[in-house]
Amino acid sequence: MMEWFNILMARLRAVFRRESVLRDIEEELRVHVEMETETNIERGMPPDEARAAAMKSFGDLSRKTELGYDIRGGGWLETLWQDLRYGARMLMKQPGFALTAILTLSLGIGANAAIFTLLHAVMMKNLPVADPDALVRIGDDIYPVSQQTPRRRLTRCIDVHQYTYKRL
Amino acid sequence: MTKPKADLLQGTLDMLILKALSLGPLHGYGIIQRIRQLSDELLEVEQGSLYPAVYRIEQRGWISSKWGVTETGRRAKFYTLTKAGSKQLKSEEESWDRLALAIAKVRKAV
Repeated sequence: MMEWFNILMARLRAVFRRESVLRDIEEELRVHVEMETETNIERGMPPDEARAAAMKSFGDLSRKTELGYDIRGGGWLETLWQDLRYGARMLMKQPGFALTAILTLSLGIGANAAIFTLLHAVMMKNLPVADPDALVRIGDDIYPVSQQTPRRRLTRCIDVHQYTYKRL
Repeated sequence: MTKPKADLLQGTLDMLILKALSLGPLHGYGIIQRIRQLSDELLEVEQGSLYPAVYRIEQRGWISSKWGVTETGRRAKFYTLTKAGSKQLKSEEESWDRLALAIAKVRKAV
């Protein structure tokens, strides 16, 4: 869990410092090749050959830098950031389209919110009493006779029973 | 250079890097050298695969890095094991030991 968070934070930091992360990797790999070159010289190679051998054993530097950046860079966060910037640029270029899209979206969201608010108030919200489940309705006409079933009759009995019990 | 080399099992490299750093801070080149020394020259970590592994470990918070200066006066990036790193090393060593023991048992079965 902690690791996952660390990785996310590292990626987030990298999004806004792409150049410095790249330079850091490049520098580190360059130092590595230099150290290898020195070791080769100590082993008795002439400097040119030593450097060439070091480069060869390390492999393609720019490719390795890229590989490093895949891990240390912003990753998908960077892609997301780029997409956002691209989107914003495109919208600025076509203000008419942008305005239409924004209006459509706001109307749509607004209408949805209004209808849901209504539904919520009418059908989903609890009644404004302490224990809505305990509410009972007393009377003979809970259901019209035409709609009565054995189960509904039973329900009514239980309701009345609970009510009486509470009052005792 | 025809030394018989032991192939590294997947995930073992991480443990070796953590182990090398548990003996003190090192730069990348130093990590390779220390692993080579500690293994009596049997293990040669490939230069290209070291850094991706090191970066991944750093991002998980098991090691931290800082630019410093080597004994020979060269600027280099040094890695240090963090607290979380030594915990991780301990658990990786334990699971490695368990695995080695289990494989040994299977191999010795008659």
